[in-house]
Amino acid sequence: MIRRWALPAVLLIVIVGALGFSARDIGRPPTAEERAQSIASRVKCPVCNGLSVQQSEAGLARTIYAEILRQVQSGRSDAQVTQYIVDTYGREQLTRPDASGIGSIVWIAPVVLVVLSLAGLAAAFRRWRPSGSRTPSDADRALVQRALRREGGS
Amino acid sequence: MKRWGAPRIAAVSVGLIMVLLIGVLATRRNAMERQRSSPLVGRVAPEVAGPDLLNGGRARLSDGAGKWILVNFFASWCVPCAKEHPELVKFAAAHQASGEVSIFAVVFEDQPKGVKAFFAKRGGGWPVVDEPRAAVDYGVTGVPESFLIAPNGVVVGKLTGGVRLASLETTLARFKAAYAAANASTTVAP
Repeated sequence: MIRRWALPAVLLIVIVGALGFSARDIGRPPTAEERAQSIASRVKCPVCNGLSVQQSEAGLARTIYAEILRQVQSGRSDAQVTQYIVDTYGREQLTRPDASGIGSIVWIAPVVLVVLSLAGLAAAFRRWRPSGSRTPSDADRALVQRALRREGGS
Repeated sequence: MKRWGAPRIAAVSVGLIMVLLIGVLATRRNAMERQRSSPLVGRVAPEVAGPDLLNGGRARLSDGAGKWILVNFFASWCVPCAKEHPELVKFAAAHQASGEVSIFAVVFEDQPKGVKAFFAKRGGGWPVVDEPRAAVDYGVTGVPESFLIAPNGVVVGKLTGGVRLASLETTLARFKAAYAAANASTTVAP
């Protein structure tokens, strides 16, 4: 009896322990470094290809990260620090496209495409649904009769 | 009236979205245009203050308020910077008598020793400040990059790459004329 419950009990303890361990940071405010890393991940490295400031080890990227961290530590909000980057390097320096103005098309277009595709699929499936009577017509009956006769004759 | 089917509506909608996306991408500024422009143009120049590697003590950009200032980001390891340096020396000399134009250099990812040797070899005696943060404040992406600041402290232009004396003088004259016409208004248009 004990052996029967031992494995599930151990598994339950492990799962609860793992959940508790991973959830220990939930509710804790992010540290200055975590906030700076998060902001830096949304800023393109000006001297790299396809890397954010957070990912890059380039000297200029490190300088930008140091400035982001300094501003976060001095009490500026994430939005203020991001605006500072926009004010100095321009909006193009952010990894995410602008969600307002004409740039919002980049966000809206994929959603519209998905909705249209689903609508198209729904319309196509509705059209493919068998339509018409399921009862055999006289022509069908005659066809079957002819086939049966051929079967019987051979 | 002919009735439009769902596939045709979907095709037209997708086509419209594609056209809009192409429009967005086509009207975006390319990398070169972005490099030449700066969000700082038309705004008050960020203050730069730090140790003056050449003259000792501390230097501040605001010390030159009331003059035209060319803020030059450079590095001793940068070949185009070495090429433009004699042009800057001539530019500084040409405006030394009038005192209405000055150069303010900012070191970009370099060591003081290399910077001092650079100036000892090539001349120039303007303030040379070592303040890494300034590169971020000015949105610098590489060297050499220069910013022209009007006497009212507003950034009027960004010069990417090595400058030549002739083009520098032409640019300065153009901005001076626009500045005079605008009579020290907040924004100076070239």
